[in-house]
Order: sequence, then C-alpha cells, then structure tokens
Amino acid sequence: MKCGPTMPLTMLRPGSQARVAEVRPHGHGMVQRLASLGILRGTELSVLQGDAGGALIVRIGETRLVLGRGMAHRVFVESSVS
Amino acid sequence: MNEASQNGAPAAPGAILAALAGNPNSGKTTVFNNLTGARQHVGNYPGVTVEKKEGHFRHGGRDVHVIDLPGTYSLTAYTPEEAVARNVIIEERPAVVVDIVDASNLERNLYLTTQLMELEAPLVLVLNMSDVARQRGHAIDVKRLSALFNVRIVETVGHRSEGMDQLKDAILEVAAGAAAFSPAPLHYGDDIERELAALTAVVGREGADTTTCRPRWVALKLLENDEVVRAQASARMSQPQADALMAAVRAARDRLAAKLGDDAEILIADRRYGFISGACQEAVKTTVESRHSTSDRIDMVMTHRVLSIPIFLAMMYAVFKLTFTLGEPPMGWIEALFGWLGGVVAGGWAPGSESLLKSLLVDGIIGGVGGVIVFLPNILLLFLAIAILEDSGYMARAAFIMDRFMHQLGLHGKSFIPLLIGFGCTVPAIMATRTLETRRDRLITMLVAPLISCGARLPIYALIIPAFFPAAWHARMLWIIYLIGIGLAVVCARLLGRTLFRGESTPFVMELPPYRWPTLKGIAIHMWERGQLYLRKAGTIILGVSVIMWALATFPRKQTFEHDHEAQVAAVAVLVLDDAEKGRRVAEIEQARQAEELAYTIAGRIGHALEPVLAPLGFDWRIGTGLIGAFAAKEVFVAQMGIVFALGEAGQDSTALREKLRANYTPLQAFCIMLFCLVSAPCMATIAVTRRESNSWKWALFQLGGLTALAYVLTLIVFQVGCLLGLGAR
Repeated sequence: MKCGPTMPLTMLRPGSQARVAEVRPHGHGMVQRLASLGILRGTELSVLQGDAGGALIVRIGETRLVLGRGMAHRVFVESSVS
Repeated sequence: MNEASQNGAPAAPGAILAALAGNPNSGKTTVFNNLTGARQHVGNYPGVTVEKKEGHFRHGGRDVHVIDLPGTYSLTAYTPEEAVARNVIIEERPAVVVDIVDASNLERNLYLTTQLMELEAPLVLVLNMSDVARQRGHAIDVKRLSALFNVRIVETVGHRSEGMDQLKDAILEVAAGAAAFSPAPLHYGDDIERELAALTAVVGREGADTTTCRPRWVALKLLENDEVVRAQASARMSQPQADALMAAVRAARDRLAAKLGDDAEILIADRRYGFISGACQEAVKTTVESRHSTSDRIDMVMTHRVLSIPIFLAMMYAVFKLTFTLGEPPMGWIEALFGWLGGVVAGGWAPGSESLLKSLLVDGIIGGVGGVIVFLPNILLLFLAIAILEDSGYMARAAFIMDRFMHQLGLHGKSFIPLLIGFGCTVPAIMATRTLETRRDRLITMLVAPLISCGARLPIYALIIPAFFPAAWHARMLWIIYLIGIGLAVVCARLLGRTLFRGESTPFVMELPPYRWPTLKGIAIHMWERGQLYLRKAGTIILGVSVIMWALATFPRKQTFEHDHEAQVAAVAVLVLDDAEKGRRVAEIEQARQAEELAYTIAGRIGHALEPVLAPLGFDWRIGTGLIGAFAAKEVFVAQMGIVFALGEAGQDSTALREKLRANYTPLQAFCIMLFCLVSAPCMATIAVTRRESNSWKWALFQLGGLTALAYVLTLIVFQVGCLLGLGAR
C-alpha cells in the first residue's frame, strides 16, 4: 500500500479508498463528534456516493455516514492505492 | 402494580433504577419496548426538548424502573441529547447502566462504552443484533470481551425478543453488586495519565464539586476542554481557585500538545479507539471479509447521482397520492358521524325551544372539533407513510438526496424531514426539528415550517377553488398554492440565514442506517406518536377556541332587529304559494336574520373594525371574521364563512356556500383569500409549539408577526396589481 499526498475528502471519487490523515477542527466539538462516529486519524474509509456540490456517503467498517460538504472539506485523507 | 409505576414515573419505592444507553440505530428502543411492554411514559427533560421515556418491569420479585436515555454516539456536552444522557447518569445515579451495542458494528458502538466506563457506572453490556453479527461473519468471544472490559455481557436479538430474561437477570445481579465486575477507567498512556493524575489532585485540592462525580472524571473532561464540566467545576470555587485550576488545565493541554503534537481531546479519542481495536482484535474473529452489503447495493441505485432524483420524486408522489386517495372514505365516515352526533344532540331540544346550550354544543363544540377530526385520516396516513420511510431507512437517504437543494436554503439535508412532516401538520413538524443539531438550523426550519401548506389548510382551498375556477384548473390551482408555500419557505429560509442567523450552515454528519423491513409495531408506535399531537390539539386548543369563537359569534345577542323578521315570516305564511316555495322564502328570511345577528356580535364588530385594514387586500368584514377563526385553527375559516353567510352548518363541500361566495367575490379575491390563509398567522397550536421548542416567546411572536406582515404585503401586491390588470372584474 502506497500513500499519496493528503487532500480533502471532497476530492475523492466515488469508489476510492483512503485513510484519514487529519481532521481540521471547525468550531467546538467537531473533532470529538467525528471521532464518536468513527472518523479520526488513521481511519480507513471509502467513498460510496457523492458528486460535486452535494454531500458524500462514506463507509467506515460497518458504518455508513453522510458527510456534508463543509464537513468533508475539513477531513484530510491520504489516498491509499492498494 | 400501582398506578404510579404503571405510568412509569415516579419510581416505586425500593425499585431498581436502570438507564438504557446506546447509539442511535443500535436497537435500543426495541430492547426498551421488550423490557417494559406497554408500561411506558413519555415526557420531556426539564428545560430541554429532549424526549424522556420511562418504563417499568418486574422480575425476580424486584421492581425495575427503566429510563431510556436518548440515543447518542458519545457523552460530550455538545448536543442536548448527550448532555441529558450524561446528566442522568451523574445525577440520578442509576443502579445499573445498560449499554446497548450493535454487535454487527462493534468498534464504533464501543466508543460510547468506554465513556460509560470512565464515569465508573455499574454497567451491563448488551450485544444486540448478535444474529446479524454472526451473519456478517463476526464471531465474538463473549467471555474474552467481558474480561477485557471487565463488564457483564448479555447477547440479545431485540426484534425477536431473545435474551431478555438473561438481560433482566443481569440487571438484578449488577444492581445487587453481586457480579464481580467493576468497569475501570481506561489507561490513556503514560503522558496523559501523568497530566491526569496531577489535574485530579488539583481538582480535589481546589474544592471542585466532586460529590456527584469522581475527581478523575472531572480532570479528564477538563483536559478534553468540556465547557459544561468547566463551568460546573468553577461554580463551587472562589475566583482565585477557579483561575488556578484553569491555569493548570491550560498548562497540561499545552504540554501534551507540545509533546504529542495534538489537542488533548484528539489524543484521548485516539486512546479510546486504540483500546477498543485492541480488545476487538483479541475477542472478535471475522471470517468473512466485509465488503458491500445488500444495503450498499440498494444504495447504489437509491442514492445514485442521476437515478436518485426521479426515485425520490416518485416516492413523494406515492406518499401524497396514498394520503389523499385512501384518506377520502374514512373522512366521509367521520363527517357523517359528527353530523349524526350533531343531529342527536340537537334532537334533545323540541323545535322552537332551542337554547343557547344547544347552540354551544352543536355549532360550537361538535362543529368545531368535528371540523378538525375530519382530517385525522389524512394526517394519520401521511404519518404512516413517513413512519415507513423512516423505519425502512429511506428517510436518511432522502436527507442525503435533498442536501444539495437544502444547501441552497442555507440548511442541510436533515431539515428536509421536518418540512415534509409539515404537509401533514405543522405542530409535529416543529417538534421534528429536534433532530437538527444546532439552534440556528432548528430556528430557521421552525420559523419557515408554517409556510408548508398543512392538512388543515386544505379545506379552505377545497372550498374556494371549485367555487371560482374552471374544473380543468382545480388540480393546477392546488399545485400553485402548494408551490407558492414551498417557494416562500425557500426565500424566507435564505433570507433568515443571511440576516438574523448569519454564518455557515452547521457541519452535516448523519449515520445512514442499513435498510430494514419496518415492523408493524414500530410503525404503529411511530405514527401514533405524531398523530396524537394532532388529536390533542383538537381536544384542547380547538375545543377551547371553538367555544370562544362560538361566543364571539353569538354575543351580544341582538334583541331588536332592523326588519321585523317574524312579521315577514307571518306574511309569507298567508301568501298563496306551494309549501316548497314558502319554505324557501322562510329560510331566506331566517338567513337574513342570522346575518343581521352576526353583524351585531363581537365577531361581526371585529370584522367591521378590521375592514379598513383588510379592504386594500380585497377583503370585506365577513372574510375578516373568518380570518379571526383561522388564527384559532386554519380549518375554522370554512366553518366561519358558513356562519357568516348564514348557512348554518357548512362543510367544505357545501355547494350553497360556494354559490354565495361566487355571488359576493371575484376569482382574484378568492385567490387572495387562499394566499393570505396560506402565509398569514400560523394557528395558535403552532405558536404554542414554537414557543415551547424554541424556549422563547420572542421567536414565537416573531413567527406570528413576520408571517402575518409577509401575508399582508404579498396579498396587497397581488390584489392591487391584479386590479390594475383588470382581473378584479367579475
């Protein structure tokens, strides 16, 4: 597995996988909120749906989350090319 | 079982207090229903609009009082639900905290468990949906997991009621302190532990309130920058003591950030997940590589970039088609029932001896309440459809699909759900804004929700549209009115988002639950929870208002009339006419008498007083009195017009009333009436629920004033422009 440069989650295409590199805080408690849903540094995730402009559906293990664009912009990932 | 415990609250003396905690979608509600059966009580936590569900069961000779905590992913204080769950555990000190965990999604669910362990609450861990976990190829070594977490574990399958007796046994065991388990706080690694130990000492020394929670927990929360704990800890201290404590917290956070390169709350979350994944590696064997599930395959279509929109529109069309088609026959039955009831009650008085009491009962109470109950089938069907969409998991997808559209309004996808409910009744719609996370989103959604045309406004349209517009235009006019409401909601939401509620929409995260077959019981409970709000409105507010409106339209009673109606009736009686013609003339005279009477009453006078204000909108005093009724409840407008035009009982199908309307108003005026009723003053129940849900009169009155002003300006423009264009002619 090779790690590429980090980029916001919004740049990922549906079907691609990535590992969370950093969650950039925005307002109080967002990092903790994402952590409680399973998104924190090191989390492996894949994008199931999402296109320019709208929200994304992300898969983390058995969890499926809808992430709004604002939220997804602040989650930085390194795309893992397996 | 005594009455109090049957209702769930307060707990019988000597009862064991158990609190159910768990993630949303973990099957917690099902377990709660299984444990307590129908012995439930739903209320609100004081001061916040979070639902408080309580119940009761008896097992092994002991009474157990169960509190169903709100479903949460964590125990921070950032959402009201989490704060409430935390407070109940800290303040009410339940003898047992039952943590319900989705066994098929163990790691994420155990995150909450680690925080319950930090609170050192007496825990029972429930591995729910253990059948799904096995299907997905997760083999959980319960003994091993139990040892790692040092906690009593029970396996259940909620929807098949499996494992409930074992769970009840476990609750009694843990409550009795018999079980040899005492969940201990996690170990966060040497660096954090060192800071924690130092802070714990400071917390103890500075005299923070540790009567309800342990100093170590307070120190941990301070390290995590928890505002609520910080405020609570400082409250009991002198200023210098508080300053010293906060300085120590800041120093500790700075040291950790310098050494480990991250904020303490991130480091602590990392450690929790580290502990969980370590435990799961030891105790869980996954034989099947988890790839795309059935749910994901359904979602490939349902949330598809292109396909999702037509599917969504088809779903919405089906929902409304179902609501109105299936709702019609029962509406007829209810109408007939109330008509019959009115007849029976009226029959109690011999002709000629009609008293005020009869008028109050028949015209006021039965007419008023009946007019509202008639829409119950429509509303229940809409809520049934929504309950199916919610319980199957589609509603969360709809929120995803609508996110882009809602984004244009400065809201996110979740706000779509309350607005959809608003087509049924605005009251449950405003209550559904509870699912929105921030006050900004809640308030905007709440304030624009009345613009979504609710079921109660339908009878107004149903009365007016056929009276004034050609048959080919009936459906189209109805659509236009609904679309105007939606369009105005869009504009108002954007406006509010850019003025009073500046700032970017809140970050949107929401779990997509897997698709499930909804259970009949679940849907019924869901539908009823909302439907009863509407019924309660009919039973309380509308009942009271009906009486008031009746009084306004009855008093003061006119004693001397301008025309001597009795003499006129007598004159008709001696004319040489057939009986039918005589009857018709007598009825006409009677109507004229009633109209004269009404003009003399308070309602009539208010209507007259309002006339100068309403005249620029094309409304006369009669419409004015109807609008006063509409404030009580929108559908009262129809009944009120019936009274004003002296036709007695008038349902929306009354062709006689339509003829009268057509004789008195132009289509432009008719359109203005509908427009005004759509936009203006939401009904009293809406104002009341907005006050309760926003916790302030300010927003309720703002909603009332703002929407009425908007309605006035819009109707004024439409009427005046219409007249200029020559549309005002008959």
